[in-house]
Amino acid sequence: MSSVASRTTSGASTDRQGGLDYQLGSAPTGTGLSQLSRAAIAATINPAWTSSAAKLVLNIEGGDAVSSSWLAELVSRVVLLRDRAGDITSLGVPSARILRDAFGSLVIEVTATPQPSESTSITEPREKPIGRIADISQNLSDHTRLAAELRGMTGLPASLLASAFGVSREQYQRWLAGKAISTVRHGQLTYLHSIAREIVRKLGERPARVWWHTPGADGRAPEALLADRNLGALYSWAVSIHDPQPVEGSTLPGLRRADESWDEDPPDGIEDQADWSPYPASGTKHE
Amino acid sequence: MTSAAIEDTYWLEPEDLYHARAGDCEIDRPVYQGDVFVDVQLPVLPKKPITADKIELEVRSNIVMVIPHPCQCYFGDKLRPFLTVAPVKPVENYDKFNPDKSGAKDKFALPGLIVPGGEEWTEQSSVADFSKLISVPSGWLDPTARIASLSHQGLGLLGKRILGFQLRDKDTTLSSAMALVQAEWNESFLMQAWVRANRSLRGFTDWLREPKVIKGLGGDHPIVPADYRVGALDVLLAEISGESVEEPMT
Repeated sequence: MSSVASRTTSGASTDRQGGLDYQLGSAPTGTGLSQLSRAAIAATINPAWTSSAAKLVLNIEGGDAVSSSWLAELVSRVVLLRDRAGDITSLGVPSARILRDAFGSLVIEVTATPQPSESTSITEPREKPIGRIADISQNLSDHTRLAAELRGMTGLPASLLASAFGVSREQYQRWLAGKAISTVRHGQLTYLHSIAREIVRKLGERPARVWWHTPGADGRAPEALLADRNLGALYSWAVSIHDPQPVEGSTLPGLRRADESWDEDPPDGIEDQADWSPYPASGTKHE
Repeated sequence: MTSAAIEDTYWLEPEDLYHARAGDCEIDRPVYQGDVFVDVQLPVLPKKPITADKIELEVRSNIVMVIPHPCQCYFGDKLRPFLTVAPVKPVENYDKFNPDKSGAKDKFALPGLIVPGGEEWTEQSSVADFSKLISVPSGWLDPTARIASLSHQGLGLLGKRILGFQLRDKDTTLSSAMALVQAEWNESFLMQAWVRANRSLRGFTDWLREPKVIKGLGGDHPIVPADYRVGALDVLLAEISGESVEEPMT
């Protein structure tokens, strides 16, 4: 993780109209951020920051391609700044494709509602553990959208969706508000979103919402599987729904049925194989 | 209108492609699809058909990538005796992949692969070559010689590329490929936790497949842990390790 953006007083656009400038330090080598030093970055905090609504505009000027990891780093810094200001109401982060394809100037706007008590401490951004750059890249790009769409597609209460991930309703609400999410939870959210999307595609929006409450052959409704955190069974149920339109154009749009069968003939030579272990003394020998 | 959870692509940058590289590779992580190993001796086969009963073959040290689906890497708690691998070779660039990176269907791009060279590790643009697949004894794949393992996205992309290689399939999206291997991806963490707790995989498969009561799942009723790999990884990890799983960002 490279160093956190530091306040500077020597930037080209220092302290404009009472705002603060942030400049990113030089990039460490070998972290995929090598393009960092080739772009001039200035984050100017609008003077309205101290009022009820604030807007943070990051204007990235540079002629080189901007890598996703580089943007992820930048976004992580936006989060640090955001945390000084309270809840984000919208975070205009471009999609990963835009990030990869971005050339020249790119603007990210963050609209925030600051809390008065915190607005004065923005000169000293607080560091917090924010995980690997890859986590940030993955987590901040879309989990808020996924969480919101999941609610919309299922029509289920946040408390039930939260239970599917083993978190509280309040935690789910925080994801909806743009707060960070762990990599494990993000993976679960992506997975469940894919399932819900598949059900909407096959059944349509309104019937899809009904489907979640409709008992199957064993008397259990899909929502019960959610509450039980049995997302594997939910996937199987979703792919077993009749697909009224298996082909769109030349494309097969749906999720595939996973083969969960385990019983098969043992491969030749398996009887000579020890239980796998990376430690030679207790498992597979590396001769 | 909703959009796909994961943007479809034929290309991943190293930070998205890899779960671990070089010194970040942990030896107790199971040998898995997409793992890259160094120092694997492969025979150099003669171009002319072999007519003699016995010949001498030259062998060369290679970098290889494991190709089979995770379920085809293991049989129960044992690594399968033979695993199919693709030789990995350096490339100058990825021009043959075309601008949208859907080309070069017999290759899998490994950009930013960090390989040992002399006394230092160097970053090297590489490809795994599907056109020269070969099966080797799994014991040749030494966990201490692993230099990369793929991320969940990377596994999805590998599946997508293999379909392109075998079927010229262009319809499977990265998102759907990832969903297909989500359970196996999560299972890799369970396997690793099991090895850490028990020093080998012995007993893992039975634990995963046999019903049992697990605190926090299914109330007092027995559940099959395999059914919960996706939805309750944290609980299962805690069950194996005996420790609560820290998730600082939740």
